[in-house]
Amino acid sequence: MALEPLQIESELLDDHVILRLQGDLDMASSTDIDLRLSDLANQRIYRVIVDLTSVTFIDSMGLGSLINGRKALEAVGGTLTLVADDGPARRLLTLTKLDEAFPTFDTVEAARRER
Amino acid sequence: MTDTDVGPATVGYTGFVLEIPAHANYATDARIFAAAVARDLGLDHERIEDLKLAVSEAFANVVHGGLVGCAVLELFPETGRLRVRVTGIDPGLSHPLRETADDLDRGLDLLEALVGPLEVSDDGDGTPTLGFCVSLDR
Repeated sequence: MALEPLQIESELLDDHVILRLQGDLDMASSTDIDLRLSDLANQRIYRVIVDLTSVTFIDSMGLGSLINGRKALEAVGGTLTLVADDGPARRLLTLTKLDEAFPTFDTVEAARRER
Repeated sequence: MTDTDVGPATVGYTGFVLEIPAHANYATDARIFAAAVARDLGLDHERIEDLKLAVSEAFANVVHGGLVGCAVLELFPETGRLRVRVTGIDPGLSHPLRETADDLDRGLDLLEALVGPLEVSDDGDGTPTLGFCVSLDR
């Protein structure tokens, strides 16, 4: 059975860095997100949007990496915003009630409008 | 039934067992295996996704810390339910199932929310086990 690694595309749009994730975000790949988000915090990138609409699976380890990233960014005055449609990410956020704590939008455009 | 339609692969089996290295990279394999069995048993998409999530959480909890050994995923179809068990096998190392790490605590909470009470066995002999059941009723 083949392992499909998580793909992370990064894009700078105005004052936002957008990370588009594709694949499974689990215990094997969560470290990738941890590192990427802490890198952005170290670079003083203040507005980060993580697009989860192409994430095919996410578990609590994946969620933990987003929480850690959010803490790292907030520690330097930044923000982490999520984009999730009706897929697994939105479902897990709802299950864990983290959708109430995490700013989450349906589209990247909506997330970028958030100030 | 036609010649090419051989019916569900689960017919005639009393249990399904997957042994994989106790490493994070194999969590995907555990999910794929569980989903294949669940699909054959007729679970709908949403419940298959729940099962994949539950298996992933159990696997993560059992293999955390990077065991040297292997993990065994077992699925037993029973009347009205599917019994699932994940066991870490590493005679050289023992560790508690419940860690203080936030991620693992969150994972167990999530697992309990998904499948209800957990069967936990952790007698310190290097074979921590997490078990749970999911309903097969439609």
